[in-house]
Amino acid sequence: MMSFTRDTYQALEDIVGSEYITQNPEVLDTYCFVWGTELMTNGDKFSTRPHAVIMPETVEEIQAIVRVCNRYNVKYKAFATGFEVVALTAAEPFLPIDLRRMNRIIEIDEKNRIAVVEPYVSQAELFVETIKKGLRPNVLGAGPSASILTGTAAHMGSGPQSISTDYGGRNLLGVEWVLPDGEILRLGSLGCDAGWINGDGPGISLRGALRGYGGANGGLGIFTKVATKLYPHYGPKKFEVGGRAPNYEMKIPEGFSMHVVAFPGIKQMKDFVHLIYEEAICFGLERPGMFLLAMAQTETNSELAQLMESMSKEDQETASFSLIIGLDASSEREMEYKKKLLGMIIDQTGGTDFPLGEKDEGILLNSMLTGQFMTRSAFRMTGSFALAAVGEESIDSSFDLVTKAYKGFLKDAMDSGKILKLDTESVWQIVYGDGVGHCESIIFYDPADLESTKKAVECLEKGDEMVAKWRLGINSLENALSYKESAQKAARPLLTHDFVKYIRKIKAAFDPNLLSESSFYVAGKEDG
Amino acid sequence: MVMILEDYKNNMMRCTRCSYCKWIPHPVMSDLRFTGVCPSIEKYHFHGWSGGGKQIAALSLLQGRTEMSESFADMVYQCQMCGGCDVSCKVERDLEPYEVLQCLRFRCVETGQLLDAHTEVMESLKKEDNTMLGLKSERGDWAEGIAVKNLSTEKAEVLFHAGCRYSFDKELHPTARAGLKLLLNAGVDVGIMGREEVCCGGRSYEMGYKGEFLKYAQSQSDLWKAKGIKTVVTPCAECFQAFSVLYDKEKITSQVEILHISTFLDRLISDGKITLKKSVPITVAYHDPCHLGRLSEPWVHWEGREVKVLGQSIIYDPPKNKRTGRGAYDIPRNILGSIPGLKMVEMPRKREYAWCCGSGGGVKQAFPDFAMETAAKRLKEAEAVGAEALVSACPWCKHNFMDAVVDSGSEMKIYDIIDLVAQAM
Repeated sequence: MMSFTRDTYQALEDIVGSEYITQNPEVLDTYCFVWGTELMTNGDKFSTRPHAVIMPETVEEIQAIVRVCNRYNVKYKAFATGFEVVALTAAEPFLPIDLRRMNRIIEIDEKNRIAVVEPYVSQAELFVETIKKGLRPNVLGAGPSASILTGTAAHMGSGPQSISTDYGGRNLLGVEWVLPDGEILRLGSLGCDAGWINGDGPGISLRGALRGYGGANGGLGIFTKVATKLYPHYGPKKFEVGGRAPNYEMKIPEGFSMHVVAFPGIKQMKDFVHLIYEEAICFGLERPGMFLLAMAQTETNSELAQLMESMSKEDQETASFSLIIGLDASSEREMEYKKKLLGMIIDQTGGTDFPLGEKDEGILLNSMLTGQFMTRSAFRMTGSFALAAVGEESIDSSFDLVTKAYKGFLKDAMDSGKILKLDTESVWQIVYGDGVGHCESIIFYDPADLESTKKAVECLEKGDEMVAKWRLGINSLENALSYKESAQKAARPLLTHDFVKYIRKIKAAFDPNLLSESSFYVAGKEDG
Repeated sequence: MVMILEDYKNNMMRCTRCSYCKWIPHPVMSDLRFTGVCPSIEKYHFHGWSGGGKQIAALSLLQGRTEMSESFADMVYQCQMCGGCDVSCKVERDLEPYEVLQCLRFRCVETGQLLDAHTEVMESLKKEDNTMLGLKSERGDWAEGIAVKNLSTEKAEVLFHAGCRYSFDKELHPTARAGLKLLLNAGVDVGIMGREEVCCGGRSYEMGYKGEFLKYAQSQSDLWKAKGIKTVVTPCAECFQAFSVLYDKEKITSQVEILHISTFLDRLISDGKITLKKSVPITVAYHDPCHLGRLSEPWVHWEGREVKVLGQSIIYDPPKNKRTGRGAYDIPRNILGSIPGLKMVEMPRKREYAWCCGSGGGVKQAFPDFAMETAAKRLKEAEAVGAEALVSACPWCKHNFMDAVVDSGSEMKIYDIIDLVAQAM
């Protein structure tokens, strides 16, 4: 039985002080509204109002909060910048733990190429600080304001640079973890005062338990510090930026070269991706789809609408079969080599390297380095977007999933006019450093329009069903189905392995009182 | 078309809580210490204090989930209305967070959720025509002894409008006097209204008292017309923004040219009527006042509707101007750059993404500690780039920085751009 009483509030207030806890309804309503909430609430922009919201500053305060929650049987969930649906949407009230005050970069270890961060350090902030030292972090598509820690430890993490940095979880090193009972677990080398360099051992590695593939999304305690890998940065300590709001133009420095490569069809594009992955010459690769590519070039929706109207169906298709490629190099000679090799692969696969103006190249570099593509491009046109049919697959299968989803149900949905209507596949696609392809079939919908939202939900369900029925690998399923346990349940009969069963055991072992809020993780108990 | 809170409901529903409104645009970030753009969220932390948070709170209000209460009003008023959130949001989106903040303030006043400190200001305004709690009879004292036309009885082409702060803040009188003298010495046919000068109304608008604002705006406009004034010059950035943007926004029209004094001085320098010849050997950082910078973008009226193309793509028919902080940034810098011996350094947050001085939106009156803390952060930023002095172009900024210097024990010198031009003469 959940209980949040005056005593509970007082016990929490005693930990952080009255300034950092509140039950004022106008504030609480800003903690049950987030990107995508309406997809889980039949169109309502607000999910259930939380009990209170609390804002600790230290790991000790977090431990104390978790212990109070266990004492009073209160569900809680920590979150960082909090803009994805998984951060704050729930059917039952809980206690959001806002980690905004934990915003320190603890350490940038140049020699070992790692950074240790608290939860509220944004991707943009870590990027700014690390490039001063000739390094850069793994950056996710969630954009500059997203938390580095979240994408590394708690949530699925894919980004435009994943071909050179791999996905979020592969960047996770040492972790300081407040377990659901309030105890601290320091993983790997950190557990024996040997620094942050390794998150495995001693004994069995718990990194898999901590996040699996898709992340526990707040359902397994609170990560208070993580070490994340850093990568060589061959650019300046500070980028020269021209222009003004809303269009800032990053000047292309030596050591970088941006390309948009178009292909006559999907087969040639697949071949190209295989080869470019094999040669390991680019630091970033993404397939933005025609629409996202066009969005990035415009300042307003009206400008974009005009641009779209001026494009023929053929032009749209050409843009759809395009990839953005980012090259970086430590020397002129290395860049020459990479460009030459890129040209050879383009020739071999029948592609066209579109000439880019300085301004366009700057926009693309900025987007690739900071992950701004999604936030800048995907929200503006209709107000929101969602992912129907998400896959972590072989390169070929990830391309096929996008096509299959488009032909299978997205084209009809687009033609209904209830989501954005495009004449081509609507996609964002990348490749990880281990050669796995990641694809997202994107639907653009208007969260202020109930019919549009309903159509988006319908597409999500069809996407999940398609992924399950097609019997894709477990990675696809965990990512695609993590939004809803009901979807996991529906998919289970189709699976050769009931992975949910094992995750449930992990949840129960770490969180015996089942209080770490699990709307986007397994519930702990068998559902239904 | 004058918009009301309900008109922005769809905007509110399309906020995705991305938190861009809390930071300066990321491409221009350069120093981890100075990445915030919103003084309100930096001070009060909970999401409701951010630009995006207020969109959500406003939606909650419109949906009847919450009602305008004392705590809600505090959240609304603990904000300088600096517009930083709006600039950052629009790097990504076609939303209007600033207009929602303004409409929330109107709603506070309409529902009687008033702050005592603001009520006091408004009483002063109604009774004495100023926001400084001063006596109307003392309004023109700042210019005592200067041989200048009084336009209540005489004629001149140019009206020098000092504004409430310069008129009643004795510490700032030397700056106002210096500004006026610069114009007089350059041979400008300029006059003042003396004790007949009244408030521009801008502060009352920002505090949510639209009715009072309209009264003052109409009165000013009528006065200018009656006196045959061709140009109004003001050394106050808030007055400038009220005259040039808010009057137009609320359709109080006049044919008068409105200039901030920095623009007028720049013209005089270009025309050779002012020569900057004395060396002023000092390293300065220029602070862009919100009201001269991002909030001074001219208002472009729009009558139309939101329509959808390509199924769900939202566009405006006819296309709507996207306000992104196109303010006056180069002119003050040009002036400073032409002062011999003066070295300019730039702070990490500048131009349309400048950090606010902390004084605006009624914060100085209602939450003085918050105003001071915000100013102190700007002093730190100026110190970080090696500035000996912080220069602004607004008396509200200058006064708040001066207070923060005293409070924090900083050694930073505080100037208005007028002070430095006068020194260089």
